[in-house]
Amino acid sequence: MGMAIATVLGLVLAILRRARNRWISWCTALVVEFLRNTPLLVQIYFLFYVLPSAGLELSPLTTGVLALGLHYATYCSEVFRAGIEGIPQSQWDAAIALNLGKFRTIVKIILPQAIPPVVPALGNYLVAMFKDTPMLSVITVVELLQEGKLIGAEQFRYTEPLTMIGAIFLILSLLSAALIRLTERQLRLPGGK
Amino acid sequence: MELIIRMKDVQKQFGSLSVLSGVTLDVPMGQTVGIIGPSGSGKSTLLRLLIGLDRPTGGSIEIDGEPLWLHKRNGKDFDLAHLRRVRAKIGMVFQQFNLFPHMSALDNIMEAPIHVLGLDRAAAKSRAEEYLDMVGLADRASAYPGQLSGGQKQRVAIARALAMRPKVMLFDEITSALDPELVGGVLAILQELASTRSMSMIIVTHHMKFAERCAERVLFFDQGRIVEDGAAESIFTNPVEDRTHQFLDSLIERDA
Repeated sequence: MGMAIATVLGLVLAILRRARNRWISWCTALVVEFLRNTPLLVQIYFLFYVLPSAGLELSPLTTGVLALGLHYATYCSEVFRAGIEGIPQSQWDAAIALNLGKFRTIVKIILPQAIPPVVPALGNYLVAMFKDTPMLSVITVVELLQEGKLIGAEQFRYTEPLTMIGAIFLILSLLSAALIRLTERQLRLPGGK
Repeated sequence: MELIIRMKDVQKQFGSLSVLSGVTLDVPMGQTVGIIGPSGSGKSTLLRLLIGLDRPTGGSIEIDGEPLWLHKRNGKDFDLAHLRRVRAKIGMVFQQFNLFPHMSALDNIMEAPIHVLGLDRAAAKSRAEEYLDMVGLADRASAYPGQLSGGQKQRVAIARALAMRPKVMLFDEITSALDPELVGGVLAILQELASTRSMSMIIVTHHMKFAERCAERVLFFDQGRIVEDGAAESIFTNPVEDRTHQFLDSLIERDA
């Protein structure tokens, strides 16, 4: 869920940052740099304790997903930006010469070429994000690690649950890494570049 | 005679560098014009200005009786909708083909007819097939650019531009990136197009043979100006200007 937010929002941020309107690109850059350069933990606390005072009451889980999603969206947006900027100007020229609109050009011409090369980098962040989920325990979200500690506390045995949790993290991370590699292979073009 | 292109004192500067310094040019409907000249003389810039990829820093460009760049009512911004409407009359083929690598040859051609002209898929497909057939690549419709040779890519790029049925086609050194033995196929297509006179063509090229065979009129460009403008046969056999003479001579020496 957080991953979906991170990817989609990241993409939107990347595009906005390239906008011709200086206000839009400037504001986007500001938000991205702010979120990217403050600790995730601070952001989690901030969303959890400050938003309610602004009248926005969210469940701990929603807050957690939102915090992780926003934080990693900024990382993803930089990855997408690198991908988009890697597309040569000649591709834009060709699209303009064919009179394709800006939106169509981005969606049909630029992104399909920009995304495949950055899938590995994107995958990195998504795995990193998954491994950051224990941080949500500070706002009482019962994620994997918290669950393990609870079991430990009940049974007075920590070795087994914690080992188990380490293993689960490892397996899930490896699985998503494999999934990402599969995606990469799916996206490869016949005949190469 | 109906003019498809009217350029009046067109200038283009990049910073302090003047690439085009006052080009005035009229092209009648159906005429094929070859443009020759040394590198950096502004030939490619001229084409980029004609299709609105770059904006001139001075002078005016009219396509089919309409200015390419039109100020909006507020007098500040340019009217992009107007630019796109006028640009629909122009097609361009690039030196490096600029095909979309993630689409098959057929999809490369179908993309703009569907999303710009609003054709339905079936109509766009039959149109794309028609033009692929015309450039002799009907059997490579499903191939991706990475699977095509340079000459084949360029022929797909020509078909892609033609499928928009423009009134003017701009060719920017379209054979420069090709192996010599592949030039012939592209040349034949252009000759065929020129002979129908169904549209105007502007061909920027380094291959003099290419200009000689396709174009009825040839412009010699140097340092951002038109130095000589005349019938193809007279420029190649009997140029008036010294500079043209020098340029043609230097080519012969290099070939020898």
